[in-house]
Amino acid sequence: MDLAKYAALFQSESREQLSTMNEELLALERAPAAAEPVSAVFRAVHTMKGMSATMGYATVTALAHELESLLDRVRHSEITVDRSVTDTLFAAVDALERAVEIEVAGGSAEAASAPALARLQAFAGARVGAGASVAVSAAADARPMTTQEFAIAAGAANGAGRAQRTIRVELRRLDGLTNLSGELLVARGRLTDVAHEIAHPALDESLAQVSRLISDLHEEIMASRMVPVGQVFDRFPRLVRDAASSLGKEIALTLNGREIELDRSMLDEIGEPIVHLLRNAADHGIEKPDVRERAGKPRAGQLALTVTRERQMVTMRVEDDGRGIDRDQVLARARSQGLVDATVEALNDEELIRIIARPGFSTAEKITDISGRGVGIDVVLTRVRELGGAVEIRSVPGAGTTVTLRLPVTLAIVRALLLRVDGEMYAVPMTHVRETVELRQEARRRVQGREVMLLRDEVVPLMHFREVVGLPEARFVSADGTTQVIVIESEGRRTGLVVDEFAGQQDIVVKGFDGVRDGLALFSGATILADGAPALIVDVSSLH
Amino acid sequence: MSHTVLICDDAVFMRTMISDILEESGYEIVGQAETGVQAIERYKTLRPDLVTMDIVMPDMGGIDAVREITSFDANAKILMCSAMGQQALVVEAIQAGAKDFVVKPFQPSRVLEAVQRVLG
Repeated sequence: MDLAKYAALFQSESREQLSTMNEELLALERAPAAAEPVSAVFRAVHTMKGMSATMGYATVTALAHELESLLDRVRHSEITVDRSVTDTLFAAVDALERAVEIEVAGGSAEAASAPALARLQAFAGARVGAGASVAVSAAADARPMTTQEFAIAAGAANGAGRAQRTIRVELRRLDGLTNLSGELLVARGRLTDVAHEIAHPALDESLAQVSRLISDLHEEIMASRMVPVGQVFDRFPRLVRDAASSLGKEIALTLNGREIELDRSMLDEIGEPIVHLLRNAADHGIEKPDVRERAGKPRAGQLALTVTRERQMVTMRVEDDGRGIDRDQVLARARSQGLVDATVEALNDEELIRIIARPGFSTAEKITDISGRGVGIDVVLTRVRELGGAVEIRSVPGAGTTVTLRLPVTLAIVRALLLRVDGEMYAVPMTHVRETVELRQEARRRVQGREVMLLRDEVVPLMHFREVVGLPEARFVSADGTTQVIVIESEGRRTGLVVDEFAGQQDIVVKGFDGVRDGLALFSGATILADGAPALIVDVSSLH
Repeated sequence: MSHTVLICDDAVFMRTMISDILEESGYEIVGQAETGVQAIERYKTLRPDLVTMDIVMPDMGGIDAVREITSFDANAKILMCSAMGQQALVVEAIQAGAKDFVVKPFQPSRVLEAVQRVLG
């Protein structure tokens, strides 16, 4: 039998089992006397052992076998679960994960897995006293399960209704479908306009029907791209545990809303920023246990990641009950870097974000492995804005920090502000638009040779869109002497973009670009508008 | 007419492999189940000629499923598919009404031999 064709299936299913093992081990760590997590891990390990033996993956099988033996002893209360046990189990699961990847790729995982295997065996050996490790594993092997043990292994009732029929589809195909259905929506817009002119009842009726079908089709396609955030977020509790452990802290991560669904493309992109926020909270936010105790807080820090969905937006909130952002320290650093005026006495939440969002701004006292390599929260903010989202930070000294990300559920469709310049249409994603302004002549100034505008109390540099796209300067001033300006924001900086005229807002289907014209990295993509006209999508982060 | 088979295993990997082995030899896979409870339900609706049954599954294990199925249909033909180290359970499964067993890792020839024996 040709086993090669089963390797991918083995790999994906093993990853699921490994994820289950990690989840259940975390549960075990929280409740060391509980029987269900042990049974669940045992089942997952057992399933993997069967699969890997069939594939002929010797190292995965050996590791799974030893792990199973150790778990078996735990189930029989021959071993009491404490930190050293869970650490050994976690290390074994890590080794198992590495071994799966290596053996699936055709390599030998024997050397890489030797330490973990030895640790498992030594562990079992040490706990039973005189018995040598070889003897222990042999004994475990020789002792078949009894009915009662089996009942425990099979007992924990979960995932009973998990038998949905699924099929794996390449993301590329889904992208193709999304694109087509997006174009269908646009074409429908045009058709509706035409039908409106012709005004024929039969045409209207069938158009209404087709129109509804197109909407349904589009919704179905968008729904097929949705996956629960748990697919990516379920590994975070383990990650936080490891971070806390290496920092000498006690942190419990609560994950809420793991069943909320998000477009796969968005989920793939948002994982890293969330990891960054969690690491930041573990490293800088949550204090060491003794510090917390002195401050009258429980020794273990509470960290929560909560996902909620409201229509086309999804909110992700990372909340800690740590020390909060030290505003005085941020202010002092900002002053010394000349980011704020020397007269500023205190920072509100908005100013705080603006400052810590500056590339490279960090108040970390020392660089650690967890975070703070001079890469601060700016990376997160930039990434989230690129994804069309917004960030909000609330921080209370001594009580903790909450970072809230608001994101569209999909990257495929965005809301955009349309501009008309010299007869051509351009689209600016709304996420970067702060406001639109009718700028009066008297609010324009020149500061150090640069053209600026006064926006309430703020001085905002001006930029002419015509100049940016290489069109001749044209004084486009309306009869009342005002100029149309969009205030855009990127990386915490605002810029006023002078345009000819606004042409409303629209949901646009983003199409990627191949071959940027004249090497201008000014546009991130293109779209077809409802009236059939093409429009370029302005990459706001390239301006300034 | 080819024989119909219901495959019960909690791993997709295992179900796919068993299904491929049997289909190549002309058996018709009429259904799959990933828990003991599903196995019983599907047995009752599908009435397959043969069931392959894993032992360790969530919600209800293979042995209890064998008991339920054979009490519903005394002539049910069930082949146990168990991993190494479960010999005692295999004996119990046979007592519960299973007709034969194969041990993972599977060799296609062994699986086919066992299937033929059970269908006899």
